[in-house]
Amino acid sequence: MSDEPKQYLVERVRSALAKDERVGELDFHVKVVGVDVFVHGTVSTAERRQAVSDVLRDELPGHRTHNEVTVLEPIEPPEEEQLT
Amino acid sequence: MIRLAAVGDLHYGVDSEGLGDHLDGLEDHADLLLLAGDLTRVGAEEEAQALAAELAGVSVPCISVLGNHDHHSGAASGVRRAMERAGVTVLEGEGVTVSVDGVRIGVAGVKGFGGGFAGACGADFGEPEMKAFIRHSHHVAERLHESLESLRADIRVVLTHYAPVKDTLAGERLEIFPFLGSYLLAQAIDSTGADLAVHGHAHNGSEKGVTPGGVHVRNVAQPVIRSWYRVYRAQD
Repeated sequence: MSDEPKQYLVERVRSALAKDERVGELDFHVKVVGVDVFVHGTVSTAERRQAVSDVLRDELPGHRTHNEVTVLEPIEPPEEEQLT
Repeated sequence: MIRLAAVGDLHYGVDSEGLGDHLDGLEDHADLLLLAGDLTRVGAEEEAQALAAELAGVSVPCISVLGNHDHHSGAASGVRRAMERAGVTVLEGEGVTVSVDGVRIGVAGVKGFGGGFAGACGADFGEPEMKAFIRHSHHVAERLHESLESLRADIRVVLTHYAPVKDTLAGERLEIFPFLGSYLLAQAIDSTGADLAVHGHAHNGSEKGVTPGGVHVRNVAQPVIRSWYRVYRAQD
């Protein structure tokens, strides 16, 4: 494990996830606890969730990475809202 | 009564699927479909074409703005063309009026931009880069104001990607509010009035808010509404 300060590591991971065109998302929450790195958020497809794992593996050798990202499964629209 | 369906932040890609099936028969539920930007994942033309294929069968008028993701690859004009080929009206500082059963629905649309909210926003001051950022915020808000002023409609709707108010950012980290929207958009909306303003962009935000002037604001980013779209019913 490197001695990279946590906050720099967090932004390195967020930047890598945004720039990787297989993922291309900005809204991830990254948490570092010792050698463990947790990533939370939502993506639209299973392929993008897998790409998050791939990016974490490439970016963070020596860390234990935890892909906690979920795939959004939209539901049927609920009852319409009456604007008053 | 007019039924307005809306969704934003579809982030469509070649790996996406299913939207078209869920829009099939939309005319039974809505009179108009609004797309609040971030149509694509990274603004690639093939992503826009994948979304266009899903939208081609939509049976009600479809109106959209682009979002920041649609600009990422430098091919926003290609995204726009793909949408237009599918029959989608793409607005950028323009308005359009659609007639439904004799009711004129006016939609003024602009991507919008960041800048922040009253009391804690950026200023047109200092380095050229900072001035350019804030001047863009002012420019898009002025475009929205002008398009709203020119709308002649029974129901007036504002469509943006960035947020006009803080209410619908509840759940987002306070530090990023200046990147999520601008009060200048709300000021433009309130200066001319509207029945509804819909936006996206804030995935961790909240659905419902209101401008200082009392206009309903709805954040329809799909990660917020967690459904294929929402329907709002407006009185003409």
